[in-house]
Amino acid sequence: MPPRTSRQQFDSQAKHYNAQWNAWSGESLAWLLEKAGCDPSQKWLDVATGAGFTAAAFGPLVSEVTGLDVSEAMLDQARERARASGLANLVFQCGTAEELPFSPEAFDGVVCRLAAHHFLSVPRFLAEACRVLRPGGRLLIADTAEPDGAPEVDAWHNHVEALRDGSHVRNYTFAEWRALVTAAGFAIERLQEVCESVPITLQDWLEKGGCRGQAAGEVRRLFLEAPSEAVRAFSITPMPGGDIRFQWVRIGLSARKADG
Amino acid sequence: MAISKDLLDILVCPLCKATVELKEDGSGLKCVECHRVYPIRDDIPVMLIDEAKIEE
Repeated sequence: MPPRTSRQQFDSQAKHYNAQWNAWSGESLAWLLEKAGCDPSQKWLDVATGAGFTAAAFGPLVSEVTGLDVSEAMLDQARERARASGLANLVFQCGTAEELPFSPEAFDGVVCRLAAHHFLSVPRFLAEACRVLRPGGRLLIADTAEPDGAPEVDAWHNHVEALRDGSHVRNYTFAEWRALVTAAGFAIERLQEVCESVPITLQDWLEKGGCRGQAAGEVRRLFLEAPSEAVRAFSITPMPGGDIRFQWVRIGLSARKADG
Repeated sequence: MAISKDLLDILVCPLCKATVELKEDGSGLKCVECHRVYPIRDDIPVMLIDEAKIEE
């Protein structure tokens, strides 16, 4: 178990997950929508829907979106967002990615955006996603990832993530994602890097994670002393005034459950 | 927003994956196999094993 559960983390940080957070990952959302091939007859499941940005984006394109999240405070935000958008086809439940509370083949598609790095077991989540998808159904994942073949970058990044947010488990490499999704029985359609256009600034990133005091100071020190490979991989750039700008690497992955 | 029949059709116990039934008073969803009751809070079913209580 990570030192803090996702339920604790996101119940306390829910109110900070506003439009700015969504802007940090606009391209990954656009990528998911483009690859989803939604049609108005489909039912989709948004795993770890959080504040419901992904569910709200899929809503107008499909028959129904079920948003699942482990944090009830995040679900309150998601429901408020759905209400404000006038979307009546979004339903929300509280549950975990590893123990999906749905019957087999209940969904045409499963989407999971920027959340899998919090899951205690990605293999368990993928097995569950496969179970609840109809034959031929599509799995779509976007998440922060590590470049392949760069163990120093991988170790540095996962360390700062865990310091900043105790519910962080692991950002996987592209190769790890390929192996995990294939092992779960999916046929991969696309697996690629998705470049976000809006850089993140360290101060905002720490605030979103509720990281303050000594831990925040330690994360800042690690950024200032980041290995050169990490500086390059994440475009880590000190800004005038002392803040630091960077861009994480994101993976976009689309896969299909076997037919019949 | 009450729990719709469509939703009840696809919701299962996260632990044993058996059917859940709405309690008469509407306060929770009870698994027909393990008898865990998952609370409904603010119209949202809380399908967390840690939050469920076994009711015989």
